[in-house]
Amino acid sequence: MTSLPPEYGLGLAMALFGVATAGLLARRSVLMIVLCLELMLAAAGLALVAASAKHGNAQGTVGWILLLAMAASELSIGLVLVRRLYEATGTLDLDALADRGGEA
Amino acid sequence: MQALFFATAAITIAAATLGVSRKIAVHGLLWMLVAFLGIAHTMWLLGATFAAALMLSVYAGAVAMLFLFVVILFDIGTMAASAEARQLTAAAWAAPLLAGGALAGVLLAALPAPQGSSIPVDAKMTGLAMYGPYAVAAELASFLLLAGLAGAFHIGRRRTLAAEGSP
Repeated sequence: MTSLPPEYGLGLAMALFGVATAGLLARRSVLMIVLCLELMLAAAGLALVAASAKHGNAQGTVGWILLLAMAASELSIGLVLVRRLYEATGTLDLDALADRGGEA
Repeated sequence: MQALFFATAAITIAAATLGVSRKIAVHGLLWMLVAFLGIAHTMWLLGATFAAALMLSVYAGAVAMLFLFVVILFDIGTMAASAEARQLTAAAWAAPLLAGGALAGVLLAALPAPQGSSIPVDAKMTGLAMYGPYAVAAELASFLLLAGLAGAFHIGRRRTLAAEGSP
């Protein structure tokens, strides 16, 4: 039996989500934006697991497993798209890509 | 137990902050790996040992390694660092920090007061739920993974214009 209140884990998840949101808004490299998205998903997963620990049933953990499958699919497609983008344009800077006006 | 949690939380938040703010992508990725390990340890402290093992193997293992291979294979790190170094000033961080801080503040303000202790959820409980009432969801997850696999293979295929027969 563990003595840690589940709300502590929930609080850490919220703080991490805020950090990842700040990074998502500030970064201009597509690769770092995908990395920040992964951190947001991990924080949401921690919230699910904390909810599971709060209620003592496995529903939150099942949600966490589904979130893992979603994160894995999203990451594989996302990284392949990053690679195609880099091959097609030679840059991953969002500002530089926006200046192209959709030509590439 | 609580001191262990607060130490882990401090390390995790510090590593995540460093991870999102490093200019070189590999450095950010390695700090993010530390944050993933911190999240896994928090899950362990919450009694969710199976979820912690999944966090370790999928996030710290597969996700971080996939990122590392992409960064290494395409030398994106140094290339993007020069462009981002000019843009990532203190002024550029002000508004994102305000937004992220406000979001975290609102969420933390809504957090209920800690009461009771965590109830451990092990692999057996998870498996019984996964292949009992949530069997359809497990099937849907496998569909999603298959779609991700086929999509990544299709988009990532090295194709030439001649092979496609396009003008």
